[in-house]
Amino acid sequence: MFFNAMNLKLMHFELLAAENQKTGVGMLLALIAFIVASVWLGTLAQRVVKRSSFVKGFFLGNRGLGAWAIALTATVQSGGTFMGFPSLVYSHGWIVALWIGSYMVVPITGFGLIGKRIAQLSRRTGAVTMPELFRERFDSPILGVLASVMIVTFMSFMMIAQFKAGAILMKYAWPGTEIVSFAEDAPIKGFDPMFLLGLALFAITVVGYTLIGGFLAAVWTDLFQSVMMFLGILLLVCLAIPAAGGLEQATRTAVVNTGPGFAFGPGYAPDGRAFLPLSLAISFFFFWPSTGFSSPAGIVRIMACKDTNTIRHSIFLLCAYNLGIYLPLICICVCARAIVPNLASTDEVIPNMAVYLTKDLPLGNLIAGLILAAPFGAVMATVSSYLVVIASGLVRDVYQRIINPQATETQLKRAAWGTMIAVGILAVVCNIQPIAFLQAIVVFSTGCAGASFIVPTVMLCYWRRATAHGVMAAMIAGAITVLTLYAVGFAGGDPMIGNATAFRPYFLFGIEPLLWGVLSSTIAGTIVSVFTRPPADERVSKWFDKQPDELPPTETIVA
Amino acid sequence: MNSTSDSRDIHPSVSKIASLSKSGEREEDPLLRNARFEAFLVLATWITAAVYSVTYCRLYGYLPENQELKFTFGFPSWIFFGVVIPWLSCALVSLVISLFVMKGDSLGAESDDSLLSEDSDVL
Repeated sequence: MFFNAMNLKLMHFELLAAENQKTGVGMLLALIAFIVASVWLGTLAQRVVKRSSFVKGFFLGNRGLGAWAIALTATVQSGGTFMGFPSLVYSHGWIVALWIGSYMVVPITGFGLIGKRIAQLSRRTGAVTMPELFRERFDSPILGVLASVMIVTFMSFMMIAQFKAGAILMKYAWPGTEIVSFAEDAPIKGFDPMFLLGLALFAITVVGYTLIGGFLAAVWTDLFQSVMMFLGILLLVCLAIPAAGGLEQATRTAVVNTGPGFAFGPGYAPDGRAFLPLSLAISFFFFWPSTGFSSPAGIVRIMACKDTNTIRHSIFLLCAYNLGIYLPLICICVCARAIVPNLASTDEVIPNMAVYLTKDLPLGNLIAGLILAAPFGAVMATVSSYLVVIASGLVRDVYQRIINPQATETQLKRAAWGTMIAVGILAVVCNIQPIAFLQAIVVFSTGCAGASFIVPTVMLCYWRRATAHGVMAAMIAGAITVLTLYAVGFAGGDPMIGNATAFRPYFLFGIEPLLWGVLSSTIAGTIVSVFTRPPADERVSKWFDKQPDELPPTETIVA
Repeated sequence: MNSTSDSRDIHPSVSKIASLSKSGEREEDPLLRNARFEAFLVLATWITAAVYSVTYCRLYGYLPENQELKFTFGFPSWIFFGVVIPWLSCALVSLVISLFVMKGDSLGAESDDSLLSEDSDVL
């Protein structure tokens, strides 16, 4: 009898899924609210920017970030947190908890490994950008340019994909639009005027408020959407678990709908692939923390922190935040597999759950809209952050360093605005006819960026003997290794491990390419540093030793 | 609020204050020493979490034949003991390290904007 009742319930859920949920006015209102809030925050940020020099204010918020801003924005969660990750849980089951499990150490590694040193060195060097930090630390303009080129290249790819995601979200905000997929690689069929309109609106909004408020606008909107996402997920998990009959029942039902692999490793996959074999499980425990602490957007935030206590407090704030985001999100998606077992596109899981679970609540449409607006906010915040990093790299490290060192504040302001507008236009143009495999290029860019900067960042902070040539070798070796492994993987067949994507890397010995990139980066960086002329002692002493004006009075020196 | 670091405010296990006048060597920055020690602690935490979590999940969570599905607080038991408990433990360890072990070192004075104080320096 219980089995029949369960069957009927499942059939009811399947009918709902088959219809595909439609958005209502609530989502449009929520998006408008997000946009208005972001523009308002941008205006507020502008007042802070005006308090000091343009460069330091616009690109670094006058080094005044507090613990909440650092903690909730340092990892720069993108729309992927709300779209790609839930899709994986829905597809492969509980094993994704292990895949994302290293987020348990992301707070402590993100701030504890290099945070204090980066913050100190950026102050000692006066650096406002990451390339500038490398340039000053190693006294090498070429290194600064190399870092700048790499950062601008990698982040541009990632940012262009986010423009597409933002445009799709705007398109589906129109009431009555059927939710199909929020994926960054969702196909855009032919000439789609609603998509183009969404693209234009998104670009104008994000570029606009970032132009007004710079770095602080990016951080504050990121903080705002982080809070919204936290609340949205909390609400969804409280609705999803009872709707599925409890978490244990959700798993049992999901297993009935899929197979035993949904509840065990290496994960469920209808094509028989092993989503997370042991080698990848080990790899990803390294992957997330590494890409977290070395990400240019994250490092800039550390450079902008107020003091060491801010860094310390950020750690436990981010711990609490991550606990409230990732484990509940996994629970929601497991419940989704029980409630809506046959979604046509797995990226639909959160939008469908949000609309379905809130439809009987008072103001349910608006609540669903606020939840669905969270990925929109995440995408906006990501684009805004990347825009600032890209613009700072081009304006500070190229325009001010090379083209016009005597640039006035007005000229710098115009250069920053011009750069952001140009980058925004480029992103729009690239998305009119989106590049095939754009999402794959994003994944590859993320890996390359990580492999390029992990070891150089550690060398910058802790190794006296590191030389500019060694750091350059480390950057190039890391990037080339990852690029090569992706090229080999693209040319080869499906290894049937890991995520099922069109553009996949070659998993040498079953290991994620980032690890090989870090290994080659370490070897190259070490060998070249050792065999090149050591940096001048006086120069190194500036970065590693106590400075004369910080020495205590002589009577306190212990003999 | 910046806290001023006392030259003796260094982890006891790594403190080693040398007189400048005696050895002629510069004193290593206390923030650097503390940061290095804290980084080792963080690395140890990371490696411990990785080894425990991956090993436990591999032993109890990967699909052997006729595996019975057990639950703890609604989670598959291997997820609860292999991911949830370590996650909570890491949060606690992070709290302890950040609040009670990490030193509140001063970040020091900010340098003048290098582009305002030096001549232009092209490649």
